[in-house]
Amino acid sequence: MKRGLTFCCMLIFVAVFSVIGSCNKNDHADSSGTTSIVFKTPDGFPPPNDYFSGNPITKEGFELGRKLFYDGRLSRDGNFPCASCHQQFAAFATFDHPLSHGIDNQFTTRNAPGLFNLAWRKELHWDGGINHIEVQPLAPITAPNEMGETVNSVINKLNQDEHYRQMFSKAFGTEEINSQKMLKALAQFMLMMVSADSRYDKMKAGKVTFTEAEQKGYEIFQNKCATCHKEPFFTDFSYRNTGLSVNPFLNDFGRMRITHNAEDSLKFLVPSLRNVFITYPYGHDGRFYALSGVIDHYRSGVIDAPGTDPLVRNKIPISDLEKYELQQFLRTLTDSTFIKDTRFSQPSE
Amino acid sequence: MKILRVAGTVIALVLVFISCKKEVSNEGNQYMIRLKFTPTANGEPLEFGKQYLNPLGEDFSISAFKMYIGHISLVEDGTIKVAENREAYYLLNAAEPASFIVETGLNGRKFTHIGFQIGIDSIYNVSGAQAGVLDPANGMFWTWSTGYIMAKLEGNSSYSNEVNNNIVYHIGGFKSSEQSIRQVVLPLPGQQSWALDTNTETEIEIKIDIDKWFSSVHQLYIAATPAIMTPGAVSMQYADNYASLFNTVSINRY
Repeated sequence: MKRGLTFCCMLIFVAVFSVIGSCNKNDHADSSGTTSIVFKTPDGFPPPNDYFSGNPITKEGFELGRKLFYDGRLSRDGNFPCASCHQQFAAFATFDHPLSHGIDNQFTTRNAPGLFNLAWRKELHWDGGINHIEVQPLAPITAPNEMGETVNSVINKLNQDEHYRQMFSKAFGTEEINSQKMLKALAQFMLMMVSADSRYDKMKAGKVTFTEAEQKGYEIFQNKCATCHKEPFFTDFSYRNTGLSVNPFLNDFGRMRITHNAEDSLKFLVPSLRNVFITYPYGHDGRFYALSGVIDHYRSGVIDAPGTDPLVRNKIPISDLEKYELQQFLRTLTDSTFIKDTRFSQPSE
Repeated sequence: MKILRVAGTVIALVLVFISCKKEVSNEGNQYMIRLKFTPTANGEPLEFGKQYLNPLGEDFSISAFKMYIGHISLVEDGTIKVAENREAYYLLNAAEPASFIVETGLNGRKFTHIGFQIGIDSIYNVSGAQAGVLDPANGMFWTWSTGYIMAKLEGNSSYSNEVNNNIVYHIGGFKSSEQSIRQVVLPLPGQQSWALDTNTETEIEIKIDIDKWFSSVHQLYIAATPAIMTPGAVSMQYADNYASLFNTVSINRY
């Protein structure tokens, strides 16, 4: 009797779990032969957005995304991979270029931002026009002054490469290559780019002590900059008009183009200051070649117009000594581990 | 052995209780219904490149006409949805005549009207990369300001001051303040009500009158707006107009 009961309980247990398993579409990791990658949230960071339940990160998907990120075939002439404007040594910004270079000797109209901590971003682009990381790569791929391609043409090129067919098959279970799979793979690669191992982070973790200048700079930062450049991301992810003049050649009015709301005229995303020292030039159009120029803008350059953000309208008083100390602090935000992390470097063929 | 039988019953009950739930909007046996759209301009079947005159007296020709529809439903008395397929979307495309024949499965309830939605639900506009008919490769997706283009009309008009006299209407917007999704409910010819069943094939012929793109709810002169490629107030006026392009011609039962 007792053994029968145990057997029945086991039977129920197995039956129940097999049904639960069959309902859970995302839980095929083992049966499909992929290897899950666990996304780790750094200490002090809030939980990321849920980009993962609809696109679980696997080693196979990540490696596919990495190959795609560095592949020029995503551009029309083969010369402009994602990585041409997003260089790892510059925290995936474009080093030393105010505006990035696109296909056919064209300039883009904005400064390429660094790519890191994207899992916490709800919107992308300087104007927040992109609402999900998976659809982000469509913008540079199809822009005539960036990669200049069409989605169909990219997919055709990938389909002709047997190696890609194998990689898509390993990552997503079928050889069919479509834009959804390509974009999910790219998202997996980019979501894993976490930058949280700078000298600042080590100080926070009690592993290092700031110098006196760094510490003073940090205090100045907290008093005068941290409302918009909020820790731990060093941005509050808002869009603000910081009193920059309009470049008459670009005529870029920022977020208004997305919301069609006059109040959003000249508002741009508050950029993260992580890795700021290696991502110059600065500003949505790269108009500031050095941090010194950005700080000078807030000290004396802000245009007080009706839309200028109240936090900077009256300019920010920063003495020359404070400016030096502030820059010493900002240097501590460079994450050498991240920019040398071989997981994100160009894959060897 | 008795205990095994009891256990069997328990297992069966548990399985029924927790098995996967399906969408309930279209319960019951499914029967095929076919919608056959015919795009027209000036009362004739649409031909690319042919000169037409819109109701505002402006000449125009068409080189592209595409539109997303979905949520095909059976409607009783013009207001009550008795069945709806909320899963499937279709891309009508004048360059691919086969795309104008749309088939879906719906239940057998009594209906007097046929309904559908123009445009893609907001959830698919904010949830990342989609596949199939929603693949951005179909050219109905804004890459710089995320969202689907719900309907697209392109061509030429001497009233357009754009390059090459082009007219370009890319209409979309899924946020509440710039909503371009529209619901269409069309009465079926005759007074009677209909029901789908196994023995009869049901086909509904629907005429699309492109003239009304420019003038129905709103009068939208080509001269004033030869091109619109962003969501917003103007896009919403075109959306009001595209909701009135449709007329049922006949219901055929085979």
